[in-house]
Amino acid sequence: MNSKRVFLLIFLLVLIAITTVLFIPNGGILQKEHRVKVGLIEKELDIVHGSDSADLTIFLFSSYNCSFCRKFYNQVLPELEKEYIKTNKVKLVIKPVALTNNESVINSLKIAACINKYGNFEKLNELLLLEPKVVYTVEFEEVINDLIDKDEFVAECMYGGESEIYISQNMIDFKRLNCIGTPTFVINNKIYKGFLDYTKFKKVVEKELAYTLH
Amino acid sequence: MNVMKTKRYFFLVMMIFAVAFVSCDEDEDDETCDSENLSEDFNCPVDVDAIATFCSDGVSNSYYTYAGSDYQCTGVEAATCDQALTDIGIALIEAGCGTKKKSGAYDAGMIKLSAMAENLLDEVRTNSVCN
Repeated sequence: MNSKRVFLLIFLLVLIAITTVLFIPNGGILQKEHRVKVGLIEKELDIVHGSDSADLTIFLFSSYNCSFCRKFYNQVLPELEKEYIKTNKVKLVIKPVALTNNESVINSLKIAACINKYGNFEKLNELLLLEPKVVYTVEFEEVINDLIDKDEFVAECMYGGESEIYISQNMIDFKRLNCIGTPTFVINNKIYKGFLDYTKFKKVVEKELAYTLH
Repeated sequence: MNVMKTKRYFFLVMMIFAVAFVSCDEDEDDETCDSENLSEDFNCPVDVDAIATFCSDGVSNSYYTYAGSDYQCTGVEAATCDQALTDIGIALIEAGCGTKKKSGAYDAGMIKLSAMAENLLDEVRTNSVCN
């Protein structure tokens, strides 16, 4: 074997060793977790599932127009509710964001936040999950006007600036954290981007619960 | 000796080209596409790209393409593309086009709600706030 080949072999071995250290789980230096204080707080208009005394708070940036958010609500949230929220382990704080400047979309998020605070949000939430395009219809606009006419608190929330400021602040937080899509979860100052099925989401929850409790 | 080597390399390169050419040769289908400007239909501002492309193989498959996404029709005829056009309409509205037509009247027919959504709308109206 000539010296060039020996040198090449050594170089390859060193390269393999470096790659192993970096990427092998449990021991690789990339495994060290990077948590930066993100400064998210719960706000009055947030849509909250669970109690204040829960061990872990999960923040979720969500949009009704995003199909993976709806997948989360339909497939993951029921399980999460049963196993973690009702048992007081987890509180889910949903922060609606509008990924568009469209007035109909923004109005739908404003009315959702107001009804969540001052009324009964269940049916509106169900409708927006079932048929998000409803927000572009005249019928939906009429329903918003009816709700505003019926309840002065909802009217004040819609027109007094409360909901507008709230939705804008959510967008500011969303952009500040360099989020680009929904759903985005923030747990213990760590950002998880994208949809996870329940099995994977449960692993994240367990890991973050362990982090909180130790 | 060198001439032999050159010949071998030449044949090797030719073989590689031949294999690559055969591998990349795809069967051409008979799909035809036409572009449609939806700008006027949706009252779009000038800076919004509202050109959708309708493609059909004339046998079994038709679809629209808008902004890099495909919107599948349910059949081959253009009449089977209502849902695809509705979805493109929503994408256009989100991109900044209007929900109102130029006449000022709402295009109520553009978005069709399911019966379940209609019922839920009524329930939202009656159950969301106290009177």
